[in-house]
Amino acid sequence: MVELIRKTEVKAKAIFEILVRENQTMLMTYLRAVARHPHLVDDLFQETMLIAWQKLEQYDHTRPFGLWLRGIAAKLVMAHFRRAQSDLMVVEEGTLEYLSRQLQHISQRPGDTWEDKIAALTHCIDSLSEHYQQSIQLRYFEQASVAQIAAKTKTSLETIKKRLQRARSMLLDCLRRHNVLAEITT
Amino acid sequence: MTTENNGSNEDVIDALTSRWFDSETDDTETGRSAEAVSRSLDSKQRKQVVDFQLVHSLLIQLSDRNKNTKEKQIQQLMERIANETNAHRAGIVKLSRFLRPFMRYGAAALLILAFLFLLKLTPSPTATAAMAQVIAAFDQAGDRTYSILIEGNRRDRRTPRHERFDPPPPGQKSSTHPPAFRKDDRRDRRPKPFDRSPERGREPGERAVLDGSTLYLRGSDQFVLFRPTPSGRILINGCDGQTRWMIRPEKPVIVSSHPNAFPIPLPKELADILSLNLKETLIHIGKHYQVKYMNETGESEHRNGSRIYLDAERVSRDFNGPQNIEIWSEAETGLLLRIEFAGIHVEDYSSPVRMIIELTNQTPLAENWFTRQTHHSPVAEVYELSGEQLIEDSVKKQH
Repeated sequence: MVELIRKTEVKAKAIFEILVRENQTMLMTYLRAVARHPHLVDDLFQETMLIAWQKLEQYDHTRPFGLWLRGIAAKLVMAHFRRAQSDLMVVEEGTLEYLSRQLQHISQRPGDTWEDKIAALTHCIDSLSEHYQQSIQLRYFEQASVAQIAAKTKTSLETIKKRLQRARSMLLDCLRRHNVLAEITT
Repeated sequence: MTTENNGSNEDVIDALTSRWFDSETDDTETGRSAEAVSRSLDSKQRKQVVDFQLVHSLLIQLSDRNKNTKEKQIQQLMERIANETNAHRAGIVKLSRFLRPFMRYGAAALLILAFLFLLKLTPSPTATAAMAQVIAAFDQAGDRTYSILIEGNRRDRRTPRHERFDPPPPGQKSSTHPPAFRKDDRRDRRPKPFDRSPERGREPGERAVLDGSTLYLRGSDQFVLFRPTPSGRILINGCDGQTRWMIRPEKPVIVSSHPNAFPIPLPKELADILSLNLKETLIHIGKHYQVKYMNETGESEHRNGSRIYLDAERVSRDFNGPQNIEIWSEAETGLLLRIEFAGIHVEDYSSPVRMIIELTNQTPLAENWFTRQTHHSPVAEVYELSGEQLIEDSVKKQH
């Protein structure tokens, strides 16, 4: 009896680990979109997955697992928002639901992995003009601060901030054209 | 004009997102100011901001090529799951060894199945102990301030969110009465026909709402509830442990010693379960819900120590309450931190909402905070209602 229980648990955990790996990047993308601090993102990720494990028997198998995970994450985000509003941005149920829909839209795109589904982002970055591409490269891929970018490029802080925002705006348009992100209809 | 507005809106969004994405992460002032600006945006603008947040997140994800970090994250999670499972299994192993001699008999196998079935139905000892601790904590608890909020999609957006009424500094007698009872109020103060129903006759737009209310508690039997109306007026329900009272704008103060006097209008799912001293609410949960102990996690912001998270599912079919309730409490003291009711139908909301009661403050209140005299003018008319009058007026008609 004990051995049967142990084998069942091992199998359940193995299956759950597969689900975690399949949804890790998606969930981290969701949490990084609302939380500023990397350690908070990690905490929320751990709590979401832990609650998913504990409530696994309540999961409705007819619905996408990622959608269910984001529902759990949304509740945790809202709970944290009540305590520390400065850590999160534009957090309310409506916007979290919209964010979840955008991620569901990405999930349904062709591709085996999350990276495959958003491959267009690399092309969009490559299509930016030199100044904007450089700003994105330094800010995200070399993790430089705005001040460091300004010093390196011998440009003002304000100019760098505007370039980054303009670059993000052009990337957003590009991702919409490639149907990675859906257009806002309402 | 439209172009100017669009340009202006884009500037606001650009400034907001730039401030959020490109400032230092430990800059809490940026966080607070960004949150304040985001609240001024309309629905479409917020979605635009969310799209920028998503682009920002996708860029971080694309640039994060460190597989070790991802692997470590998964390993940490699976270790936590394994630790939880081992603790649960230890209990089952002890039980199984005890029953091994009986497993040779077919009837014994049925006995085991029945026992496990009952084990699943009854609350775990940990959940029972946690609930008992939370209920017991009410009697010893000091002053607590809870906010009541409703999360959901409002049907009518013309009515703006109101401001809560802030209590006076601790230890000081209230010198600021709710707006309807200021001493220099020059409105007609001649006696009006006595209105026996506390909230009878109010237009729907002037009814006090729970969203944005503030609930003050002392011990387990004293409470004060401030409920705002859309126009910004305040209705106050209170109890000093013996006498219940209610203060309404431009109407006499009403008091009663009846224990159920002046019930507030509640959504149907909460009518049987929600009581203003909250202790009875928890007792109802213990009786009619299956409570599961989820985890002990995180830091309690009110004291050092971790939080307990309990999940309750309604099992009593003849009890009219929400299907699901979540409870957070301090692990060490049982202090109720937060309680969430799911699937509540509230007027003016297009779909079921969540009602959240959350502890916001434990600052000691004025000694007389729970007496009615603290909250109304000394010259206000006061009527005392008997139990029979209350049964006729308060129970039959709520609005």
